[in-house]
Amino acid sequence: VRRAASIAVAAVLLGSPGVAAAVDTPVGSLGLRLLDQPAGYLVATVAPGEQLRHRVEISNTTTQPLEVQLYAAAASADGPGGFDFAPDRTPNELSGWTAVRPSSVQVDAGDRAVAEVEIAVPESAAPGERLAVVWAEQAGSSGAGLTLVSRVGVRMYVEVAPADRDDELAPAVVVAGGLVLIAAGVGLWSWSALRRKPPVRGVSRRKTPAAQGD
Amino acid sequence: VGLAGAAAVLLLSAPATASSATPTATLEPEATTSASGGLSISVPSAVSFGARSVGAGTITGRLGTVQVTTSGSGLVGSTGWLTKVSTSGFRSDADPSQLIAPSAVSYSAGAPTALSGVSLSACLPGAPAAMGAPVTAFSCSGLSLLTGTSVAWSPTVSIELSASQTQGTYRGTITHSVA
Repeated sequence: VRRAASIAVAAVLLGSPGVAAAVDTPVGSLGLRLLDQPAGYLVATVAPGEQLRHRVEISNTTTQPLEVQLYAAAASADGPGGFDFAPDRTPNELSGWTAVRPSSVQVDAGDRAVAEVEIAVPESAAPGERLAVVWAEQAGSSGAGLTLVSRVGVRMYVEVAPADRDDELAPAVVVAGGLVLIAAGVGLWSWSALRRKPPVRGVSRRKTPAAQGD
Repeated sequence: VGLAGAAAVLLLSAPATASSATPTATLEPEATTSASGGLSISVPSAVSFGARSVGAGTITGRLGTVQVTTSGSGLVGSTGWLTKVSTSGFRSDADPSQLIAPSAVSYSAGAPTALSGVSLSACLPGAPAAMGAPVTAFSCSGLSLLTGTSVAWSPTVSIELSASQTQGTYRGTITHSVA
């Protein structure tokens, strides 16, 4: 028992604050950023049925190759800072519209890789803002008792705009135009009917002498 | 449990594991800033909390430094990030029915151990909490995109063991997520 206990103490001491600060200050990191865009977040307004394409870059600054999983998962505006993300691969609407290709990539030490993020907003999407995160997750080294996993994400704020005005107005314009035409037609008919009355009488008057002439 | 008392819960996976954090120190700093306008998080090695005899009690250990870095894109603007941490809990190799639940694992970020390009008021550690649900480790707001920033902390994790926990090596995962 005593031996086990002493081993435990040694292990804890290795991780004590003084030692930790001295030993592992610069650790390698897993990075993710949006390409072709100055902002750190993916912010977009899209119409239903539209597609968005973006590229993200995964970087590995550690001294070993990293196996990286890429996927989108749920986020919301509920957090204290107006942003919160869900654990693991929790899905939501926006993450369901989002495809990240490839879904996994090996990034060599000191190297980078590029992945495509495609957001396909369905025609049936209701207007409003959706939040999600594109994640790059490093598998973590196993073997020891505790595996540490790191994942880094790019936030997505996608605003689904109300359906296109042209589309929405088109049927209304046809109906309204039709009504106007019908009204005009009715007006024209009733006007000409009124105007036609006297000639009708005239004809009958003329007709009478003609008939008499027969 | 007799002799088992001498055996380990959370077996020590050799000091080599703890020192495996050392080689990562050879990193070139410029490599971290290469992802301009991006976000990155340190990739720590697997760690071990060492061995402890069976019985109720708490194991406390450090995970090593967690570092979150943002790199400037050259455009003025502000942004922030949120780092949360979650755990799978720990399961015994010998008897998979033996589980240390996530709610028995607590996380404490502590004060930042290193800050650069950012004021202390912009970055706050989350309150120490059990990880039954994901816990906020650290969050920063109002960061300038003009310059790179970096925040590091050295979290403490404590695992509460119940008296019914049997001997064995318990394995689990702790995930840091930043977005």
